[in-house]
Amino acid sequence: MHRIIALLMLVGVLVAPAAAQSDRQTTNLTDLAQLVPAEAVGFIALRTDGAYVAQIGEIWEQHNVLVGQPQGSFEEVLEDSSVGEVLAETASWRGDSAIIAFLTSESVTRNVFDSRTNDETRENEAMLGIGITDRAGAEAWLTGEIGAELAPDRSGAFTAYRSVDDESLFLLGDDVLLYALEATRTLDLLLSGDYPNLSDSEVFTGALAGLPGGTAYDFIVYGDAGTVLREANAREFITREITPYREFRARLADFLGHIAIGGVYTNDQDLTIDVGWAYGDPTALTSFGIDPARWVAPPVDTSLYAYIAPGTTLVLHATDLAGTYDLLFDTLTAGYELVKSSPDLVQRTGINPEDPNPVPLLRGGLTVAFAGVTGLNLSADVLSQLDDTDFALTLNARDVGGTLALDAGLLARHTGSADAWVNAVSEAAVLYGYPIFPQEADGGQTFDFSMIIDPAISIEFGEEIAQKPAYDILLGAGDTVVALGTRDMVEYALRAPDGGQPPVAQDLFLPGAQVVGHVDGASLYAAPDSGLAAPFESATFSVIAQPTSMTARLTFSFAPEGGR
Amino acid sequence: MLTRLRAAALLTLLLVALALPTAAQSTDNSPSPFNLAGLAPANTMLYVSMRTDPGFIETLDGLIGRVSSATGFPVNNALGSTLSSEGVRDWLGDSAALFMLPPVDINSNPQELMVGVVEVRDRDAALAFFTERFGESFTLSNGYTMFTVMGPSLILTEDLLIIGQGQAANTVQFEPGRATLLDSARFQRAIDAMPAGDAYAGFVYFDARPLVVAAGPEIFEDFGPVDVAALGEWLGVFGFGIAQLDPNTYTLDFGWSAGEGSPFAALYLTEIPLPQPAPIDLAFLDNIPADAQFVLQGAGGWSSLKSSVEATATLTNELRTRLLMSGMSPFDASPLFFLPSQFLNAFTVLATQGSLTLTDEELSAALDGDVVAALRLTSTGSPSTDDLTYLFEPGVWAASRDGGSAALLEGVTALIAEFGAEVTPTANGFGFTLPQDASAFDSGYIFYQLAPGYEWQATDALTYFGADSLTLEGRETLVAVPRVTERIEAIHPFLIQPATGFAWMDVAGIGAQLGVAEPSYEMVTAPFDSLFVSSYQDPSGAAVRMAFRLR
Repeated sequence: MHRIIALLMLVGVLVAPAAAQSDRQTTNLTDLAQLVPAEAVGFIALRTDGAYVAQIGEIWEQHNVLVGQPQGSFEEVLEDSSVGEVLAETASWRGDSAIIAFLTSESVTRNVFDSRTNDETRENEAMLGIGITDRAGAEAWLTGEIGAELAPDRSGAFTAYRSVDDESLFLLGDDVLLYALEATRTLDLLLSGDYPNLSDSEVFTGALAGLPGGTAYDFIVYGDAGTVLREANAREFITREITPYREFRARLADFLGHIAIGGVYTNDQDLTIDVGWAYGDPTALTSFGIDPARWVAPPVDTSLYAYIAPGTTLVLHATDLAGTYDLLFDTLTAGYELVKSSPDLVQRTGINPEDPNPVPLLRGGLTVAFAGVTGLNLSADVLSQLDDTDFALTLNARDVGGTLALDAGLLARHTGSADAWVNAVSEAAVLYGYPIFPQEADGGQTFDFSMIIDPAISIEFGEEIAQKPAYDILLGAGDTVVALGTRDMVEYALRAPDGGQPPVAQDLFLPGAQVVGHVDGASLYAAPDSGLAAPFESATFSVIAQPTSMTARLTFSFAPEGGR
Repeated sequence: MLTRLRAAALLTLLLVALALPTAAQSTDNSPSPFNLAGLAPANTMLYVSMRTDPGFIETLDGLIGRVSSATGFPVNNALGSTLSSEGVRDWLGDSAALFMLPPVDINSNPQELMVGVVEVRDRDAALAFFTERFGESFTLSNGYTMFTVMGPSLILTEDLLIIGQGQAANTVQFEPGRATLLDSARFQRAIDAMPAGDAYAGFVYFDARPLVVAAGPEIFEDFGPVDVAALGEWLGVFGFGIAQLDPNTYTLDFGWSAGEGSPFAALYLTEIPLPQPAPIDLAFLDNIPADAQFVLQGAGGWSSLKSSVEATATLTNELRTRLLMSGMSPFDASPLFFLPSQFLNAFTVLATQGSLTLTDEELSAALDGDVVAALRLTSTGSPSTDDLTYLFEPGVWAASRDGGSAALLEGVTALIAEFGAEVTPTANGFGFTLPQDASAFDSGYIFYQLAPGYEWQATDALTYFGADSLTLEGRETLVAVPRVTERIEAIHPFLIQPATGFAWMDVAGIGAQLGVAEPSYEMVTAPFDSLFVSSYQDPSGAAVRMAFRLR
């Protein structure tokens, strides 16, 4: 049996770190889904060909280079876990793909989400399949591993092997070896061959269609999240009492819909994970303040990167700061109300359900505080000019004489006159007794907060640090952009686009993405105490929100600096 | 020695009694509080005078008697009878005064600068009085008689008793033709600044200039370069006076006459226009119900606040710069720590404008007219039934113009929405109710309740915010409701007019409410009807009248 366990581990190893090169892919990963009953709530398909295994080895090695702490070769890892031995033994008949399917929500929650209850005596309606190229070879291996414990039973195109306890089933066909554990019902179903299969399911194909790469992945994960939660609710809420929190859980099950994840490794350097989420009922949570239609924002315009210094360590880029601000507080407000409605959450958080919701108070307080510091109305004077425009948070970690120096700030395109903001802040400063006036700068004008901030910095870090220009905080206003941050960050934003260069990794973003993030590997590597032993190119993510679905992409590029 | 001590104690008692906040009736026959200024040098820095005539003593005894009778606190001996029995009444004239000469420096001994002068109407009686108590006396070359009493000398002339140390006593101006304080233009300015002219039973004159000049070195040490002469000149002269305005009304008045120049020039700072309060219209009090016990009125609130913040901002910065140059750390010189009030005021101005999205003009239109804050205190229940409750109902009324109240209402409504507060729209604005736990406090003996319901109202000419029970706007019985205006009619003649500020407290009403919980509170307040303050200020100076009215 330990060989069977090793076979399962093999599947796990192949899924966990990544995937093999898609350009060598020859198998449609979803072919085996036609053997899976359509009721499956979870499905995993992955490549198992030799090239894929080799590629994982390469990724393993690249990882070792980055962290600078060699964990041993991939072969050594495989040998230590017996997986390598199984790989060798199955190499002669193993096909190009494998699948795992969870046929009930309980099988998902027990096998995936709660390993502590993964007891073989319980009902686990899950099945595993591996493509084969040599039925005789597979049968020989299977017979040798299972031995007398199995009772061969020919039926149709499959040879069935049933364990003596009648809870496990192997079905061996010409192209596939299937395994099911504790699966009396699954056994009957598979042997009958009379059932709607997953590959014909509209929700399954619809979910996979949400993946931007189609089926061109090295592994694919599909989950019917709504059904899993719905059945969990049914098990958990044994009484019929309806509370707002239970209502939310029920609505959330309706909302969740189906999720598909695809992973692929391309160009010998880019590891990409895509997520496609098709909401069930997009309006199910509207009454709880969650409306996916409000998540939709204009796509980012990557020309904003022209205003950000090349090699900036971290960039988070999105659009519609005004809408984001509203959405944040509305969601927090709804979330607090939800917590109040759950006695369990009330007990855990210690909040008093009788107290007023603090989030609107916080928002109102922020409005008053912002006005009190700037004389401006946050919504009417500022956010209204940032409606639907691009904005980015940036952080640049630099090595200055062996010390970590940070350039950070907020950059945004505006549709009005940012000069008015600078003038308003200056007038406010004067009223506070700080005669700080706007300064003409290359590309706009700036307001320097140093006179206000330096005294506090000098107390904390010493006068020498306080007087360094690198630690000056500026508000800068240009014709089309406004920036608040450290001097270098703001002055670069105002000078651009003359010297701006978009980061090379932006081609890894999803086309039309509304939120993107970018980590520059070389910059991170160069920062003091980064923990990296070698540079990598980038880590990026991008998100597209639609009223009925959401797509996300995470890409880690191992390419060395300038390698693309 | 015992006799001397008694005499000294008696004199002290006399001076203290006369300094009590009371005064004699102002009549044409009353002695002027400025008479004895004709004996003080023209450069006198401090002059204190008081009436000692029988009419004043009688009035004082009458006042003490009324208070004693109303409160139940016994006063065994009237002042008049005490003075008579001690033999003082036989010789005591109509006035007494104390004046202080300018110090050479801040370390000058004040005792050597002060001289006391008491009018004597019967020299023989006075001579007998002091001889009996002090024994041996000396006859000076000018014929005056001098007694030595534990340091200061007492000199008895034909009609005066002069008390002083060293050479100070010699400064009394007896010779005709020499310039005296009465001839001083600065003294006259102080008198002109006083609301009641010369009708004071007690009067204090103070000239700040000589004191500032004397303190020059110390000021320079603390604040850096300062033109002390210019600063002293601008500080000008001050007057304080105590008077009886009618048989039931007594006042403590303050007057200030500023001199030429400005404090900023004296401190070598940028010249800043100082905020000036606007005149108030007492008719605006017609908006406040008569049973409100506290009323505070001003005008030009927004402009005054903003201009004062702007002025002090400039001042703050310049003073901070001076402190930084003197070596103070930037952190300590930060306005937040250096002048926290300036920080709060600036925040208030900016937060009001920004969070309400109102322009300076709109806020001026809404808040630069008359503004009144009022409070009504009422009680229900009783301690015996263990249900005594005090209800506090506050309210603020502001005269608006040019749509200012509507703009303010719009801004406040938007801000409230941002706070997520639930309000109920009303005809002229909105209302809301405070949660019980946020508006009540149980001391275990008394239940204190802040008015639970509030309204914000905006009409063409008025903004109201406060307890919904206190506003008269929209009430069917509007015409019939008594107003504060009616309650203060009697004191109108005594108010400084035009005034820039007014405050009124219904002492009798408060006493009646407090008396429910503790009868002694009502007894303490029993003699009083009300307290009121009126004031006026412009660039040339200021006047303040703080008065109380007996029942």
